[in-house]
Amino acid sequence: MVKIRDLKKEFSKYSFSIECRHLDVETGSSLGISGTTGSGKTLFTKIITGLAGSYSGSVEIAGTELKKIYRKKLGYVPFKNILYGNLTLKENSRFLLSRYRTDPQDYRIKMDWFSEFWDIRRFDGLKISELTDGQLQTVKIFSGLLHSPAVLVIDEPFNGLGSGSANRLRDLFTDIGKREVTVIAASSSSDLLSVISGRTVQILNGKIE
Amino acid sequence: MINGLIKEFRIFFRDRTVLATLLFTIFIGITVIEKSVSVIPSSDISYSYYFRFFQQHMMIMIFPAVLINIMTAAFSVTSEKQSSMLSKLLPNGECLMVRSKVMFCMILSSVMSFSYILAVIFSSSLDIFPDFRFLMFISASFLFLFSGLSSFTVYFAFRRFDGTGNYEPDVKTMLMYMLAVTLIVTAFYFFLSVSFNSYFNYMIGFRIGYPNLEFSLFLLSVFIFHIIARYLLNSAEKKLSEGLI
Repeated sequence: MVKIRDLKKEFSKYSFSIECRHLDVETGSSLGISGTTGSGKTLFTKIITGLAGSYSGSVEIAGTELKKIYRKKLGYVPFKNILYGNLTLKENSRFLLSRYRTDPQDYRIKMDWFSEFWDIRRFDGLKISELTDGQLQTVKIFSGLLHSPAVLVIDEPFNGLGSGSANRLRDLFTDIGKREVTVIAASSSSDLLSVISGRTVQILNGKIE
Repeated sequence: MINGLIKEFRIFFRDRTVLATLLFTIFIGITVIEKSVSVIPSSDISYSYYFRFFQQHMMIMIFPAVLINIMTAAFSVTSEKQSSMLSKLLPNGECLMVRSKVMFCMILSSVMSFSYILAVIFSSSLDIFPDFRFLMFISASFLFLFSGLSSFTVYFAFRRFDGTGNYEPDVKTMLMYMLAVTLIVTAFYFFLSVSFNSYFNYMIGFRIGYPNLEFSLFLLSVFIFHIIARYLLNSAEKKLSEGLI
C-alpha cells in the first residue's frame, strides 16, 4: 500500500511546489495521475521514488517511510531513457539484477513472462540506443519490473507506444496487480489512463486533488 | 563490483573514439620502444647509459595512465549522462558508479603503463639493471599514483562537471582538469627524478643502504596523494548519494 499524508515539496529552481494532502493506493491496485503539461506529474513521480530529495509530510510504501525504504521495493519508469545506450538489453538487465542481488537466471523467466504482453525477446541482443521509441518504452517497463518491486511508478506510460497499447498495458497492470504490485502511472492523457488504471486523480498546478 | 567493472569495460570499449585512441597509443608505444632499442650501441655500454635509458622510459610510462584518466573523464563519466538517475534508483548505486569507474580507470592505467615498461625492460635487456627492492618500491609508487590519479579524475568529474547537464564537461572545466593533472604529474616527475638519482648513487656505490631516504620520501608523498584523492572521492560519493550533485 502507498500512503501519502501532507506531502509538500518546494522546487525553488522552477518556482513550483507539489502538494498532496491525502492519498492512499491499495496494494495490487493501480492509480492514474492525470494532468496537463507542466502540472507537476513528473515532479510528483520523482518525489515518491525518492529522486527529488527531502520533502515535508510522509510517504509510506508498504508500511515503511520512503526515506528509510530499501530501493529494491521501488520500480521507476521515467519519461527519458535511463538504461545504458551502449549496452544491450541483456547486458543492462543482468547488470540491474546483479545490483538487486537477484539470480541472473531470473532474467530469462521474467522475459518469458513479459513477452506474453510484448515480445521483447527479439531485442535481447540489440543495444538500447538501437531501439525505436516504442521498443524502448516496452524495454523500460520491463526493466522497471525486473527486480519484482512492491510499487511501480511510471511516468507517461504511453510514451512511444500509442493509444493502441492501452489494452495491453491494462492487462499487464492487472497481472502484476495479482502479484501484489501497486502501480502509479502519470500521464497527460486522461482517457487512456482511465483504461489502464482502476482509479484516476487529477494534478493541477502541483496540487493533487 | 565485478558486474560494475564489466559494465565499465563494455561502455568504454564500445566507444569508437576511445578504441581508436587506445590503439593509436599502443602503436606509438611500440614505435617508441622499437626506435629506442635501435639506438642502444651493441658494445661498450656504460652503466649510466643504461640508467638514463631506463629513467627516460620510466618517465614515459606515465603518459598512457594520464591518457586513460582523461578519456575516463571525457567519455566514461559523460556516458553516465542518461543513466545518472539509474544510480540513484539502484541499491548502493552511487557508490558503485563512482567506485567501479575508479577501479576500471586504475586497472586500465596500470595495464597500459606496466605493459609498456615491461616491454621496454625485456626488449632492451634491462632486466639485469633494477634490483628486486627497487622494483617493489617503484611499482608501489606507481600503483599509489595511478590509484590517486583515478580517484582524483572521478572526483573531479562528478564534482565539477555540470551535474544538472548530465556531467557534460565544458571547455573551461576540462582545461581546469588538465591543469590539475599537469601539476600532479610535474610534482611526481620531480620526486621521481630525485629518487632516481639517489638510486643511481646507490647502484654505483656512492651511497650505501637501500631503500634510502629520498626514495622513502617519494613513496610517502605518493601515498599521501593517494589518501587525499580517496578522501575527495568519498566526499563526492557522499554528496552524490545525498542528491547534492
